[in-house]
Amino acid sequence: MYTARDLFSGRREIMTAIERNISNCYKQRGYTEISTPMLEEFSMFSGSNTPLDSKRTFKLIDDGEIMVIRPDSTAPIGRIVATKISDQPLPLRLRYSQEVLIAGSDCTETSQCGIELIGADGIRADVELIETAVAALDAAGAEGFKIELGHAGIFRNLIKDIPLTKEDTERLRRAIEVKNTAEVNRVLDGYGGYETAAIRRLPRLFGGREVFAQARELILQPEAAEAVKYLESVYSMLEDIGCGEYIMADLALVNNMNYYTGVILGAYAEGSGERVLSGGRYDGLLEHYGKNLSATGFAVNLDALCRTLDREVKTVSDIMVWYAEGRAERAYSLSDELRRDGKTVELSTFESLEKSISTAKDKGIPCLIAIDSDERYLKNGVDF
Amino acid sequence: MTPIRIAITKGRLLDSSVAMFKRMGIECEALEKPGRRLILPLDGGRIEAVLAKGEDVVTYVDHGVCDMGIVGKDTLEEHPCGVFEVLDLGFGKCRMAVAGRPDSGFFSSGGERTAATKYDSIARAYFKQKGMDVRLIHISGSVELAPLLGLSDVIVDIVETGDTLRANGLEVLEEVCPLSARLIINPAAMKLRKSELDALTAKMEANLK
Repeated sequence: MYTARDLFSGRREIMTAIERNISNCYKQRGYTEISTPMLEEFSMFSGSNTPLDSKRTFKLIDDGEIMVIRPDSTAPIGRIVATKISDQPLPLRLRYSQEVLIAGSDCTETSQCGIELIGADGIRADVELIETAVAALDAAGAEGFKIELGHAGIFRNLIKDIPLTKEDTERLRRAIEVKNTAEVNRVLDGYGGYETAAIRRLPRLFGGREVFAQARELILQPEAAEAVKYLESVYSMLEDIGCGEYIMADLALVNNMNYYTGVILGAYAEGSGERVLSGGRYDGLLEHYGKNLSATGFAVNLDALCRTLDREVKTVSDIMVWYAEGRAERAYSLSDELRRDGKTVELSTFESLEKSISTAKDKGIPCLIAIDSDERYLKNGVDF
Repeated sequence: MTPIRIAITKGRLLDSSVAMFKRMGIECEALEKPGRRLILPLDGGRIEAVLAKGEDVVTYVDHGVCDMGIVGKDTLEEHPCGVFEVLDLGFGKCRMAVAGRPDSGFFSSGGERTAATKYDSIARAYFKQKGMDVRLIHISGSVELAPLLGLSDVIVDIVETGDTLRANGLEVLEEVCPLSARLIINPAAMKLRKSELDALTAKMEANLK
């Protein structure tokens, strides 16, 4: 059920300020801005080319075609890259800031501000992306945030050699996702004779660097071990470049396992129980549009991030200027001068000085300049 | 140090929760005599407890205003969300079951069938998995009344001792799943306060009966 999200008073200002800081972070790293249509064809979000359940798209019918309000920006950007700008030199660095709408019981618009790094893979690309995530949350003023890192190849390869039924695969994936070790054991107890020790321990494999030492002992399946080794090298390089205090590992990140193909990331900040950022490598997406390009990206959830920030924003002008008839020229030039000094100056729309004074008082504007034959500076609380 | 905030389900799970805290050596006088206070300090203020209905325990933990929660598996199944379910606390054991008159022929009849329940999602998923078309009627109070009044053929509900069922001529026809109290943790709290929450979880695990 859709709930409208009205942003006003200081909230919109805060969100815009944060968005500006984050976008600037992306821009300074070479990401250029892109925007995508509000409506896309339903087929774009009905397969494995999206991390979203197609049930959670808001649908509309346009001349018999099912359209959806974009629930995500990555798939539309993938479409644009593959069909319109794939001839540009790689890698492509794209940034966006737009609303998405995910249908369901808590359906509401969410502002996302994210990046996609397309046509680049390997440790240099993955590290750069994660460093950008750290820089973005830092620029936004997020408190005590942590970015958790996982790898889609760990769980996928660990279960490869076990003949799990489709139902048990999902039961197991879900149990690992919610760190329900007892349920993981219950599912795996039905598959005696197969190597399941590592999967049983997977929910506990999260934390700092020590996770990798434990994982090396436990995860022996070659491709899964390779994924762990790769993730460790990414982790080490992030430590080397000064991001160590902001990252942690969670080898049991198994959400959207049909979509992500490599490193997965998510972030939490103090003051909110929900993720403020999520993303990962999705090398298979562009194939849906006929281009074989590696890609990775993430989005900051600006609404969730704003809820964590205990920030006041000034929505009151510093100065009100009132002018008597015939003194407009002076009022405008003085206002401009004050604005050049960084002040917020609003002109009174009233002819009456008394009405201007009472309005300035009501709004809490600290200073009023009255321009008539002489110029008077009136201070709120002293002169009015 | 910010206290760890834990939401505890009121009612039948509360006494067992208090007993567990006592075994853990946590003083919980405030829990036994809550008075009018809504946030109760335990363990010399290192833990804050909130008492709530099961559904609200899940909501508080899901939104992160409580770090942990103690809630029945039935509530978790009925309200799936993103919380971690880290421990089966072993108390509050009962089962979710389909119950009705012994001669109802509910599972063998092919006609229109009706079930009354508080647990719509669980019931819907169960009958779907069994390939049965069952009309569900939501009841929020004493579900056992529904078959007696002729509103439904069966009920899907929690069964502890079965006394209420027997007293009304009903019996368990099929068990849906076993239930017990679970320890749930908010994912953000789990990541941001790992060592504290790990320590408390381990202590609980060591003091299960």
